[in-house]
Amino acid sequence: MGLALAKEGSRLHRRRQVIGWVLFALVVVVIPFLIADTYSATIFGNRYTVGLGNLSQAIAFMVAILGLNIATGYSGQLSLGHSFFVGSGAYLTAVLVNDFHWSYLSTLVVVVPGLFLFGVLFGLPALRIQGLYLGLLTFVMSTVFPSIIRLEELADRTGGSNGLLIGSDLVAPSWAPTETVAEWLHSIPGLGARVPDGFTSRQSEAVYKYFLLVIVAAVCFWLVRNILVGRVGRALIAIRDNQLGAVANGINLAAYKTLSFGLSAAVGGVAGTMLAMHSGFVGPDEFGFNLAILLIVGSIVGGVATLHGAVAGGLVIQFVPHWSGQTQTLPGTDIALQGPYGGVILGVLLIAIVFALPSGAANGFRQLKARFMPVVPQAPARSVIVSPDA
Amino acid sequence: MLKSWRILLAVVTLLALLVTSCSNDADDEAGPALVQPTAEAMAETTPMSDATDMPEASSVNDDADPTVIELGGGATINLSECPEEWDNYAGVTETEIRVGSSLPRSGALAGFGTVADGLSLYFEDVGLIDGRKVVMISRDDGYVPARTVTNVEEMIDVENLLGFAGILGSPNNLAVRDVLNENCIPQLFNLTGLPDWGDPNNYPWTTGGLMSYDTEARAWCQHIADEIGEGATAAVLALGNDAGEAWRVAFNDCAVEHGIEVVDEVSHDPQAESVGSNVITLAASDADVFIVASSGAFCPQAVATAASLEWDPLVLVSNGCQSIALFWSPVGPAANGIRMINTQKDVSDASLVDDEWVQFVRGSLQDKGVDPEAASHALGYVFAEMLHQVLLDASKLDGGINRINVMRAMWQLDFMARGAIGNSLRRMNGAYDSYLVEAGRMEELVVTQEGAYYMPVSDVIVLEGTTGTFGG
Repeated sequence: MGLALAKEGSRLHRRRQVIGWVLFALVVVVIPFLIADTYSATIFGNRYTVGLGNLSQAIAFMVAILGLNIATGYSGQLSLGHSFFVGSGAYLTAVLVNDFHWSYLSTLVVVVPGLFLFGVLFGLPALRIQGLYLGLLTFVMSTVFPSIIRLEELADRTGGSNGLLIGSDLVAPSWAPTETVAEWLHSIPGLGARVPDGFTSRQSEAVYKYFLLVIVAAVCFWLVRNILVGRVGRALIAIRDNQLGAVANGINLAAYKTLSFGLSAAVGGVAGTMLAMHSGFVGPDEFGFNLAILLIVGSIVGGVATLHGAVAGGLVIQFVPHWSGQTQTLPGTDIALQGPYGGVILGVLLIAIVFALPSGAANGFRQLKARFMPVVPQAPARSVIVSPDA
Repeated sequence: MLKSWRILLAVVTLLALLVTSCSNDADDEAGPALVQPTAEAMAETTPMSDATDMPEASSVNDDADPTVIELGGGATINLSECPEEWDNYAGVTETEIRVGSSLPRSGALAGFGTVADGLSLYFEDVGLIDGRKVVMISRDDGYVPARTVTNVEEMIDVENLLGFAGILGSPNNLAVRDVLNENCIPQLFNLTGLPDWGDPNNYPWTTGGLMSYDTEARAWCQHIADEIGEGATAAVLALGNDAGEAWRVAFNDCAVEHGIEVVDEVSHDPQAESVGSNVITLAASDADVFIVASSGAFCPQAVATAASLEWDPLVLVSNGCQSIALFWSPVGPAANGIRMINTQKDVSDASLVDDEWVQFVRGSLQDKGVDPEAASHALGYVFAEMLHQVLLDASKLDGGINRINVMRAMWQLDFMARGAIGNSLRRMNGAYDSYLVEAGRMEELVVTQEGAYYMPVSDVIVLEGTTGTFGG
């Protein structure tokens, strides 16, 4: 059962990879048109929805988990304070847009280097402490963030406890081909019925935001992938797996540890900017300890130290609480799932994944794919097979 | 070579993104592309009526823009700013009037989420309005504004709603105010006391549902001045969220006007396990007055801790902690003597057992298998009574219940609320009187063996029509 065996790097393997990426890109492009007018389905008497707002927020969470994965997944530094970086990025964007009339994306020019520097500074104490102690230190960061935002000295800029409404809408430019693509999709039998005849201004704005977020996320994933497959990534993994061994191999522990926190914070900051773009509002309690834990859960459920894991994790932490809140009654019972059950389900998922798929949902999917599309791995180009007789 | 191409591609992508985002500014200046609805277009989108049911244009001047609708009291809505697909009769079907809400049903403030259940249960009892059943649809937002935004946007798409009522929290309501006003969808009875909700000139589709935090803090100041006089000292415990900050700031402002000295103040973490240590710090000030500007379990914690110390101040508590059953029964005699400005009746108040409203709420809750003293459910009944009146008033206007008439009825609401303290007036008059809850009474909690009750220590303070509009 399954497709023919393909050798890694062979033409067949590459063709399958290209087909896979094209299908993925098609789904990414088509899906906003299908759910711009929120999709709803009734299952066992409960009405579930999939809307573009939730999907856009999930994309921002994917980037946040990607950032967390750099510090925690790849370099093994336990960080419970990632929400601090995400929140800082969101507030920096909000303040720059509101008070200095910058466009959303141009704020990244400040957010990325600013958060990188902050992450590097924050990484300095991590040189001396690790494990639970580092976790405790980072935990403090996530808990104090809302209090910092509420400081009277900052409240004029941050909006204090009431949060900050960002006074700039992302309106699709006139050249955006939204209507053209929608018309084209509309003509496809079966699929076309889900695409509205015309978009409302709110839906057009949501589609435009979605594509902006997808592009920003794609750039982040591409850059992080390039960093992690190279020398830096190998050094971080070496530090995570065996610090002494890494040092013995000439890896500068201090430089790479601080670098991992810098990168993690910078990507987290971008995720914050994306969240601000998505909702047009930032509030202090959004970026507290709850978010930090949620990101950790997303990272583990999706799969630590994988790029795909961040995608799966983002979807899980956004949609599981959302759908559990929409489950008025558990099928066959009177048990309402509204309320704290979203968190309970996430917790159960976490335990189940740790037992059943210790490498996360993304790796589980990869194993499943390998069963149907087997690939023979290629030996590293520079490896030398040493004969026992040598 | 390949590497250079990648770098070039990255730079081009970055520039393209920057150019794209910069183009928004130009779009913003030009304003969103809005289409002025024609009479024909509106008639097509109003299935419940024919063209004669069209909302009347301003009656002030026949030459006035026909898309500008007078709501009364100088407040107007401009239909030309509504989206092209806007439907005045959305959410009003042959059999139902559909109203949405978004509240926390998970997280630290989950207890308040059942306000929506109270709203829903009330309408099960009162029967049909204009031949239709009122259906309340609520979603959990965990008090996270971003989730409120996605909830509201999705509900607009799939739930066919007349509007929203009882969204809880200042950040949450602020986060959706623009989207609801831009889409001309009513946002009624915001469950927060932020003064911003009384702003019909800028946000005619948004109204508040609670006494403004500002008004409440001013009533505290007035009471301290009356009871102790100039030179009184006060210590403030404020919840570290939107409500606590608003109370704290407003109290500091009016304290200066009344010659009250704020000798110490502490903001506490909304996620804190206990505020005991904060109260001990404040007690060291030995102030004449202890202001508990907090909510939830923090109120009884603070009062119980203060009572255990060598400190005997006049204790003023925010009215979010009114419920005797929920907050004060567990504290017992230690809560004796605390005071607060109450605006609505508490269903667990022993002195109100014969009150018609309290009997109705308790009976209704009991019939449905809910604890008759469930404070948040009962609060839902209070807002449901007001929503009921708004819908009744709207049904009598030309065109019946629709979004415009609901806003007309809301901004002109004028009735004696059975759920209000002293059956006091709930009245608004557009931009001249933009706040709904402007009457309350300073009451003192009396704890006896037979039960606890609130004893009035002032007449009903009616500020009706004096608090004006937001910023004016």
